[in-house]
Amino acid sequence: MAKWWVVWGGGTLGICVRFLLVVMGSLSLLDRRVEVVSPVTSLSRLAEGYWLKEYGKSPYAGSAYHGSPLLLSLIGPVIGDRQDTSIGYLLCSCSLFVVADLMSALLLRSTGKLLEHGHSKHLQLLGLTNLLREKTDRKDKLGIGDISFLVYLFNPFTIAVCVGGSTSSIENMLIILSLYGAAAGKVPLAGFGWAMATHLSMYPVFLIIPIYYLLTNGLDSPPNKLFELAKSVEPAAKEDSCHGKDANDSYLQSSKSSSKGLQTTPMLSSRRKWVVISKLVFWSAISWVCILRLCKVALLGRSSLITMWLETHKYMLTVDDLTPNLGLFWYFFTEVFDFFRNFFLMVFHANIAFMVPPLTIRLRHRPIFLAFILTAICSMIKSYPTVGDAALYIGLMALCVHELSELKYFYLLLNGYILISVLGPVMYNLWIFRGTGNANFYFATNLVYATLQTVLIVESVSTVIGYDKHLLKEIKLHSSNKSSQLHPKSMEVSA
Amino acid sequence: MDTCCSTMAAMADATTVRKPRVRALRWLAGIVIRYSQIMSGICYTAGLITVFLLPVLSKPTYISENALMPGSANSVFTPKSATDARLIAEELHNMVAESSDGYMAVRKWAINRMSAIGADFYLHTFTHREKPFTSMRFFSSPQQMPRNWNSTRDGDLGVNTVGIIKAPRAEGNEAVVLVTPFTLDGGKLSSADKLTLSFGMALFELYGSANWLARDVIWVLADARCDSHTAVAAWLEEYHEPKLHFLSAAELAHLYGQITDGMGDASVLEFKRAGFISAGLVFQVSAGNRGQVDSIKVSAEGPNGQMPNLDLINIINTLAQWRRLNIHLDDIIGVRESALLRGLGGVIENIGYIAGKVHGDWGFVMSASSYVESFATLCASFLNQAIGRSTGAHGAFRDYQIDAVTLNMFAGGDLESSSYQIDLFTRYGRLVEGVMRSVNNLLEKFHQSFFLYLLCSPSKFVSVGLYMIPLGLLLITLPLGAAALNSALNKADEIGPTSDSQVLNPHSTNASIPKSTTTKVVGESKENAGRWRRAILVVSVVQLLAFVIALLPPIVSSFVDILETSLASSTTSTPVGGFTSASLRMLLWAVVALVSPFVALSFLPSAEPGDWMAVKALVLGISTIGLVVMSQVDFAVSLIGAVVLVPTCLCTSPMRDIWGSSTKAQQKEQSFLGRISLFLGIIVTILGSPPVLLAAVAAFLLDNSHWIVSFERLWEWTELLWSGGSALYIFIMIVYLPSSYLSIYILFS
Repeated sequence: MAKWWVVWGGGTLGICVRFLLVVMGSLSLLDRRVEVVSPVTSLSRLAEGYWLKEYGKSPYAGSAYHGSPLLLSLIGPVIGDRQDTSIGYLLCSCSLFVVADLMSALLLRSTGKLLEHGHSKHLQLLGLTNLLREKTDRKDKLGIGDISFLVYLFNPFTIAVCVGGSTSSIENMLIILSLYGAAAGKVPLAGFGWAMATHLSMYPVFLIIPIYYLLTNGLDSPPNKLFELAKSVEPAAKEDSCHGKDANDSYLQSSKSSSKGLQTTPMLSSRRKWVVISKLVFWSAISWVCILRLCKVALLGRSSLITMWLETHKYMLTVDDLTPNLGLFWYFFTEVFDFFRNFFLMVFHANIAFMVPPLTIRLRHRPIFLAFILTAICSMIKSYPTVGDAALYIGLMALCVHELSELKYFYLLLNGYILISVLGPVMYNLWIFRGTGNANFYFATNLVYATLQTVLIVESVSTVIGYDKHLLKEIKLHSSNKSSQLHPKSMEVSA
Repeated sequence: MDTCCSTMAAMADATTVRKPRVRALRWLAGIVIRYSQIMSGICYTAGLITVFLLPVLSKPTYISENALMPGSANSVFTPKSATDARLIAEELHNMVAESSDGYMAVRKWAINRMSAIGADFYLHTFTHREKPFTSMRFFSSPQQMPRNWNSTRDGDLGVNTVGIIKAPRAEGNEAVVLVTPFTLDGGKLSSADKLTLSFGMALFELYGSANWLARDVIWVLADARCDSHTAVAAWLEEYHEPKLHFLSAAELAHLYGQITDGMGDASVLEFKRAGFISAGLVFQVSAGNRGQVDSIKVSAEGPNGQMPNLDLINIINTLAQWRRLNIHLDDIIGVRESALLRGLGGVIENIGYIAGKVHGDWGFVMSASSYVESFATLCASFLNQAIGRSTGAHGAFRDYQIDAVTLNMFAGGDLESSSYQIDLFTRYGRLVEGVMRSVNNLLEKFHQSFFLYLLCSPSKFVSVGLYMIPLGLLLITLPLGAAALNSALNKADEIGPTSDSQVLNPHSTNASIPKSTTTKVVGESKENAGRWRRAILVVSVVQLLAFVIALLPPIVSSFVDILETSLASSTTSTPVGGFTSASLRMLLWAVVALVSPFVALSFLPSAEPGDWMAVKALVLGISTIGLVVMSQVDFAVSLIGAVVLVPTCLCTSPMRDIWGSSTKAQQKEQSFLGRISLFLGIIVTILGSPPVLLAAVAAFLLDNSHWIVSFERLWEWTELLWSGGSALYIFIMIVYLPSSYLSIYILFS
């Protein structure tokens, strides 16, 4: 009951809040804010591109538009030339993004449900039913899915991006779609979502790693060695269950049933693995071909696919637009000498690539968490980041709420995010509009933002590793308990 | 299960045996947190003391920009020019007296003289801004209403007359603006305004023949029938962000006929520009008290405490001192007469003297009277910055990053006497000319000197580096308190769930303890997480409500409008039960603002006994953030806010702790002194709460009139703050209200 309330009530409220903000004129407030729109996601640029296309020119003429032609065909007709300011038009143009947000939230909820299911299964497999029982005790409490649903829907960043004239909502939806597809084992969905998200915003290309692990290894689970350890403990439990009537009867029952499940560990056989991989490759290749084909059609021959690539992905890679934004690139590349530019571009972009392998090795048993960390890193070292990226990784972070409940510095991080979201615009205002500040004022808040994200990433990873260690400790404790429990009983029997 | 516990105990033993390494930083942090209350008290007091020491610590001003070179050229404004100015004044007087339409006469006079010296001129028409609270689109800029010039009545239409002198040796891409506001009172020009205009014209004609100009000079005769700020703001907006008025020929003819009377052709309505404006100077002659020494009041405060570059004030001050003119700033008479402050001034005077005796370098000379005077000026500067509305037409320039000040020349003599007029013109003409020459010398924008400062006197200032110290001292208390609370919360967890729940939840029979012992860490974190989750819910609900309350005035006012029209149709008496519409609006708004948070909080899931600590930690967090951010927007608001908000938030704690906490352990801890301090804290919190402060402000405004009148005034203030986009309004609504409400919530939790 309560959960349905959350979904319906939360969803309705989320939609209402968004429409209310749009009616109150949030678009004109936010659609030039560098925190909300980037040159790649701006709707006003999209309107320009759409106009150019309608006018019979290449939408990429004049370096106005840097998004996909598909978005142009999808959103362009809805938003038109953005001259109209009547309420009906505003609601209509916003509805697409509201729907995208709602979809993302619902997909997160479904992923969360799968995760929760997996979570309890893993605990059973590990024989840690006491942890499980505590969780099931609180049935009225919200599950992971519901929490992430609410977190995503009511995150101020998500709302700002949704009502602020940015296409990030759609990009985020596609990323979440691909993760959901992978989590639910729907390979075509995962392949399509990944290809589409990569086409739109390039950085999701790294998400192929968590998608691969999701499809082959299943959802987030404790490391394999824990299962092996639990297996070695399990026989003792089985022996124990022979004694029958016992205070821990029900608990043993469950552990018995779990021991059956132990035979079907989440690992796939290597043959199945290859089948899944080839399926993934096949479906993403198909999606890529379709996307490129559609792009060609959508461009109406006014521009080539090469130009499209140059104006979208290459534009992100070479950081041509040095308008101040939340990221770290603009400040650096306004200062750097031209002949060093290419070198430093490589260094900056390589930062993300360097971090992927070690994280993958350490966290491959938790693909959703890995996806969260990768999106957070991308958001930090992206060329044109907005708060939309933060909205995405905070939504994914909510999926790992069990593992992260021990997160240190939570209070500090919360206050830090509030501070940044208020101080950033104020510093920008001091610099650009009042003229009493300068670029360093604004860049200082960007540095603080980057630091906050670093702290978040580092602390999250260490918390999750700590959580796994904690599970290990629990298992050891459990086994020692059992052995000590068994001995007095055998004494009794002999007596 | 028993064995479980025993293993746990064994493990606990193992951990106690292993001695943790003491780290210096941790140890230091521990000490800071342990004595956080005392340290907060010391910091707060030190902050307050530093505020009172600011006049002592202020530094003399100096001119940073070498290019300005004030007073380096001989003045060309001679007594001859002053005599001409007097003749011009006479001419103006005659023209206005002869004409039926005073404004038209002034325009005609200005355009005639401007065209005579070959300057460009035009008329700029604007309509007065609509009243606030009519738009529901809060976030978008006010919609430009389609202007229907045919229907504008003469009262709505303002007409600025603008003249431009092109500098003979310049490229015409930079300009300096002179502004002279004037009004007509019943079709008659007051003698002060007459002098202002003729003084402006004399200067303008002087510049027309000057060969040293490097910048064009724009002279705006601001039509201040509504107020001068509106007129100048409208002109500047048109100057920087031209709008397309598609006037039809009929409308043009109508407008042209309405505001001109055979002055040139229709091109007189064409807006002309002169490039980037590097500085603005508003000057005005005002009738001072008879017999008083002539003096110049410099007003510089722009919107939300923004000040022009200090160099601009420095030039005026230097030139005024050189010409031996009296120059002063706004001050508060009441502060100056306060006996307390005089006493403090005496103490400071003695301290300076004694310190000088002890060590030669430590001493300072600050007489009691000069301290009081400095402090009164500082207070006025502070209040003007805090209110957030500019103190004159110069504020409009600040929106376009132009430095501008207003010079209000108070004339104590007989304004009609010709010898006095000549004397006045000579003295002030040289000053304005000197300022113009300095600004003319500028090579870049004003950037060398300070933008963030407070003035103690025209020649003494407190820079940002100094005035941030008291604010820092006041604000450091909040994170300290938050850290102490956080560590207290963590400690409560570290002791273990049993003692934790005993401390925080004395009433519950802890049936769940044995179960949770095995999963100590997880169980604890759940409890902690639940506490934080509830706290976040409470805080975000109140914060959201604060946003709603902040946006409420337009809704309330339209609601009252509807109510009134429906009532007016049924009954004949318009004021409902003695209420005027303004007071009714204020009352409605105040009631909603005061009641709704408590209603909303009562709907939330009931708080558990330990929750208040988490709520308080969050309140301290958001109020710190609010104050820090506000200090960047408007320092004065932030400082006043910190003085009120810091004790309110920091001293709050649940009220029942005074008359007995149920656990014995806690009762032992609670000494008599501790209870008294708790009690005092609660009183402080109540004193700083919105209902008490609202009542205090209303009582202050009461002033021997009915309370409805004071509510009316409050509403007018709100309208003013709202329409000026004041940071004070935002601070009160979005930082002060939620923090203080949550402090009260903690009292009752």
